[in-house]
Amino acid sequence: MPTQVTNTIRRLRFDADEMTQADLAARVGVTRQTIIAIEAGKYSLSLELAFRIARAFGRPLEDVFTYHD
Amino acid sequence: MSFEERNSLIGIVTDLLVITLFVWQITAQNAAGAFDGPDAYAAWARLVLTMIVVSIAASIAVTILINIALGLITGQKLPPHLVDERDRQIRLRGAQVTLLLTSGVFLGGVGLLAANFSVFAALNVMLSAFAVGTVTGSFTKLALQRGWV
Repeated sequence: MPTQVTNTIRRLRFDADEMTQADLAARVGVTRQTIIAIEAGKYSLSLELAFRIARAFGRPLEDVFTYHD
Repeated sequence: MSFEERNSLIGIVTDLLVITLFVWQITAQNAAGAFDGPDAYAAWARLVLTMIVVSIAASIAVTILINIALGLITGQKLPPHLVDERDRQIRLRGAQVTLLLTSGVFLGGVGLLAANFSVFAALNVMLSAFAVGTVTGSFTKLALQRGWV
């Protein structure tokens, strides 16, 4: 399930007082394994989850995710 | 280890145990001549039905035991019963692999009948279709969950 979408979640977590993957997972209602897969670009997440992650950081979607052709 | 990863791992172990139990019983009964008489197919069917009931009970017992063992080994409590969108996608992929392999091996059994092999051989191949499909589906799920593929 690799994806063309890259993300800045790792950096945003670091900027957000070094939020752990488990903390982010709990905030957006997924498992830590799913956050790991998203960060590594191994999982193409749903639009809904993408919005939830962006909102967890208080950022617009395009600050977190970028689509590459 | 997430709830679904643990489920996949437990599924593989219990499936392999149940398959071993099936193979052992069928070969033992076959060696004892249970499938030689005129009621051979009825005897085979009764054994399979009995083994299905036994395997359900064994699966429940093994699941409890493995959960306790994993808890002792890893020091982790049971993971929260959380199934997210990635887990559901992986479940679907596992189910597709299971269906594909079960159908393929089942057709192999039908092919054996068409090629004049014994009905007994064909029945066992058809039964093994479910075993092959289930185990491969569980391995696929675990591989996807762990990011191996």
